[in-house]
Amino acid sequence: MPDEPMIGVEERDLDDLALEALAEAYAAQPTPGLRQRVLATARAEADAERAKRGRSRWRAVGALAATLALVLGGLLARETDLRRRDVAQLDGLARANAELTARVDTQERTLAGLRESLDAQARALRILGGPRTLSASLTPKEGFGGGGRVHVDADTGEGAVVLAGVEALPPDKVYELWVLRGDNPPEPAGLLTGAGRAVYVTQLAKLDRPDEVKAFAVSIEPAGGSKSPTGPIVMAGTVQG
Amino acid sequence: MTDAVDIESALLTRVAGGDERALADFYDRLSPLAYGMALRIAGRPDLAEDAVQEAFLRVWRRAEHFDATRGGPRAWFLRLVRNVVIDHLRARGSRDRTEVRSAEQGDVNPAPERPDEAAMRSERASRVRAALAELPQEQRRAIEIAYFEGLSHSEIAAREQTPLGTVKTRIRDGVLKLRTALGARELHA
Repeated sequence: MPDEPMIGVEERDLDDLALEALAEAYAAQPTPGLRQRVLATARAEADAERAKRGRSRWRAVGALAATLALVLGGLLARETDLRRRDVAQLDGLARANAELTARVDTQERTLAGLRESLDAQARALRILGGPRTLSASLTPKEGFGGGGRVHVDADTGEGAVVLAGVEALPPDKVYELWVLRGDNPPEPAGLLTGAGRAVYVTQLAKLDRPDEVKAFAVSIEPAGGSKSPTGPIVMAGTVQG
Repeated sequence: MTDAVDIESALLTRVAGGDERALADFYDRLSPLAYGMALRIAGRPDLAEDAVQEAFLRVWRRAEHFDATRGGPRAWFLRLVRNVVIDHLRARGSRDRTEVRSAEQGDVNPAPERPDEAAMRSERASRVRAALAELPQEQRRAIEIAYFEGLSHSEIAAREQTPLGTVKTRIRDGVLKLRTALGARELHA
């Protein structure tokens, strides 16, 4: 309701005075129903406005709740994502650790094998440096490769085997060394579990009566070895005294 | 400010805050003035009540627009009532009365009112009517046309076939005599 212009005279106080005087002069009581209509309509409008504000408030609350849900959802998703990444990183670390452990184990086994091989080589050298050494050159049979030598101290029966270029075997197979004494059946002289390496040196169990050994042979046997040869003979050689 | 101005200003402030009781009190104080003036302008009780109802509801919706620095609440509200009535009549395209009736023809037909209120109001109305009656006929007529019919000074001059300056002088002189006869405080009693 903007400021209304004057009606009869320019001065506001005079104009107001005239208006009020005329209203006083003709004052009349309206019907009681008018009062009821005015107040009832005003109340209805107020109720409608309150209801509208209430709906707006609930809408605002709903919007706030939805926003919070989105934020919390986002945070939860982010947390979940971070946890997933952490788990993935831990899995990766565990795998790397397992691989490292396996590599260390392998290296330890390799070191053990090398240590064993060095010991065997030292023994072989000691045997070769002894006063009486029996040696046999192992030559491959047809269809097989590689070769080797067997050295035995004729006095003590200690021996060593050196192999080179022998093919690696599947896990369920193993090379086994045999001792041949004349017409007697072959005697098992030890399993050559690392014979697949490029160069393989191992010690032999002490041989009884080494002077009676006429030849050595190597066959392929089931893992764990056999009491007598069951597989193919891959190399053999007679003892040179 | 007079007591009436203080009371009605306070009521408008409460109405602006949504106080229904204040609106009822404001109605009780000013509805006879509003309705009497609306009836005087419209000439029909139904049109007068419609206009008065709309004027009170406008107050209910926008009482905060009242600016006490630009006049009293009573004149502000009566000016609102007058404009609503005139707007209604113009919207209807016709006027239900053809000419202003004089105070002496008197003639309004008040609805039942409490005897004490009616007595006080009647006394005040009598004093104002007496003051109006003391005005020269041409001044009183010019004032009533201006305030009740919504005509501008130029329109009054054309209709009354009177120079514009004369119309302005009649209205102003008449209002000044009213002020002298009544005094501002008496109007707000």
